[in-house]
Amino acid sequence: MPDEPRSTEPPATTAPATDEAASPARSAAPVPAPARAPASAPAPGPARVHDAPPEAPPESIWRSVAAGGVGIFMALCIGSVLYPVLPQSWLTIPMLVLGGLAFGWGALWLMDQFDFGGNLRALLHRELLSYFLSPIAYMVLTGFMFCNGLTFILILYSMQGSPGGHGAPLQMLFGGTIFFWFVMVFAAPVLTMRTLAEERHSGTIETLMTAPVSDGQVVVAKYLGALIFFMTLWLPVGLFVGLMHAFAPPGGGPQIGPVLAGFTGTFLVGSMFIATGVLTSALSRNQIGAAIMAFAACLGLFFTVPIFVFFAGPEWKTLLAFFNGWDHMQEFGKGIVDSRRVIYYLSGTFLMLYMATKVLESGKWR
Amino acid sequence: MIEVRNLVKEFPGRRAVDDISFTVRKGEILGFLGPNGAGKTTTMRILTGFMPATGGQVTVGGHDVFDEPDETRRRLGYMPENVPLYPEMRVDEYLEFRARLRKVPASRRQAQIGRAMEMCRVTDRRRQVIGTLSKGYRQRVGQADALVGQPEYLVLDEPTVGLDPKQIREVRSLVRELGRDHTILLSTHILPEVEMTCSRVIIIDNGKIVAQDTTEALRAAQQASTEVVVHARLPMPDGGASTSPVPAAREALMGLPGVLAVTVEDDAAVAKLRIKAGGKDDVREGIFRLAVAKGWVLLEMRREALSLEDIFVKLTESPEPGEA
Repeated sequence: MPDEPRSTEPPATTAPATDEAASPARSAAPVPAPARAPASAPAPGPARVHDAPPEAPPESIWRSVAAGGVGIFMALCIGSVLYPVLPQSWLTIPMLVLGGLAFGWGALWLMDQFDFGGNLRALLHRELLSYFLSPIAYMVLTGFMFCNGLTFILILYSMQGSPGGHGAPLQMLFGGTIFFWFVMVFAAPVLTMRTLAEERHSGTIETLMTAPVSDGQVVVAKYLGALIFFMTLWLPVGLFVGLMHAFAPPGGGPQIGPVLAGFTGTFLVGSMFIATGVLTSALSRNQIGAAIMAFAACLGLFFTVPIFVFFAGPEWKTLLAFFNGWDHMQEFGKGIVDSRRVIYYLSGTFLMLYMATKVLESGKWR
Repeated sequence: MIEVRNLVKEFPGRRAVDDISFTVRKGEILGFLGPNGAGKTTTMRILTGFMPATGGQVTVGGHDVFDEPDETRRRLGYMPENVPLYPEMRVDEYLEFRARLRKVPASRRQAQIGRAMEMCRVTDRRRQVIGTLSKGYRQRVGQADALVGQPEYLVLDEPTVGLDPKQIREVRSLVRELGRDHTILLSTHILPEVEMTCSRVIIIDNGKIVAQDTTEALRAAQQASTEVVVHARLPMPDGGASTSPVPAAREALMGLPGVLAVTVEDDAAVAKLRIKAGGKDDVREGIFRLAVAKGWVLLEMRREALSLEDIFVKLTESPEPGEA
């Protein structure tokens, strides 16, 4: 077949040729396109194909700054929690900053050096990227900090003068108030609703699932991404602990154990909620639908049980007590990490993730 | 080599792919042609391992797509219809992500991404957020995505849909260029595309293969029933001027071997005849000899070659008009 231009071009495509045609025409010309990002090419000119790797500078600087900043922030938050066991010296803060920098850069360097985790890491990287690049993430982060800060202040005011030491307000903060659950029940669906539903809605699931990845890897990456972001939301609470120390009489600050237990409980409950959210997101191709389902599921799991306890007979009461998230968090807040609770939440997480994987698999058969 | 054997895909109440078998040979560009809803996308989704088949088997380079998904997926580059991409990522970020998913070693990643971007001409937009790209550029990112990881096989689902004529031409030349070192399966409902880019074509309709051959052979086969249009000035019969010479000429033409039907389009001084012929031999030779013998003045004789479009329409015409 000769390649001469035929007059019988497809009729549908001949009509709209005006502004779409302009941009490729411009780029085909030898003139450098005006939209070229100034940061990406230090030496403009004919783009070289095979020596791409050395082209690094400005971008990697920003990456390093971000990694260092995150590291310092994490170190300060964690340092606040660990206050009682840290040496009381003026060197503590500078050491924390240096440690944070070392941590951030070290993590970055390690990830670059080894292709650690392979597919899972690539998927997780993309998840985190899309979390931290979307404006919703920062809205959630701000709203979350506001809610938690407000709750903390309210607790502080209401507990003024009451006995229980400086650890008591923190105990209340982790699961002691309705606000904790309110935030949890809202945050998990909002964080997870887009994970799989959006992939399906936009069709990117097709490119994703035809890459050499397994369904399980995709589900776990979505879950881990959401969980990491969720725990990032909780990180600033570490600074509250620092505040308590700052205003406590010497030796009277909050103890480290209950605070860590509180974080552990938050992590476990969050993990199960987020796994539930990933499951509902796998079930739906509509984000809002997924969020509502997740909201209902989390609400059902953790609010109906305490309500049922009122009406249930004594034998049911003992059974339901095992599923009572409210009581669980109270215990965690007090510093009790009961292995039964840990197993309950972790197995719940696994169950949800397993179901999400199966749902994702079954989607292919439909 | 991609081998498809007795592939069946059933959706509730509908058989989208109905027992089709074909092979994509190494190094060829195979056009997968059919009207919308014929089962092209479904077949491609099964080929790429996105969907399991209801029956039959698909192997890519000897590996079964269902049993060894990792092996086959690594060898296949796939560009789905409408090119789904993550709008919040930058072009190079996205390609890097895809390269990692396809397990390209870190040492070769940047070079491969650079090469893919260069081939698909997106290098000038590498730092742009995908959501802000025009349709044409998105299409190119999709092509670059399929190329990352240097797969042997490329599966392109409607690669030119929604593009303007200039971009369509660019895509076609890119496909031809890629055809030099890739095996390509390309689906389309646009005929000129197949005629221009593909070495072989499979026509599919209602989930069934209705024809498969090289582009040339398919056309040649259809030309076995060709039409020849003859314009000739016929000498008046010696006797009276009242009788037209045309019926006699028609009779004479009907007597030629291979001629199936002759229709008279005009019986004026210059007779216009449309001759429908079958068989392997070219009827034009016989017509010429007849004209010389009878003393016709041949003004025009042309064979109306069927374009692939005619073949396509012929093959995919459903006998019952009600059938979708």
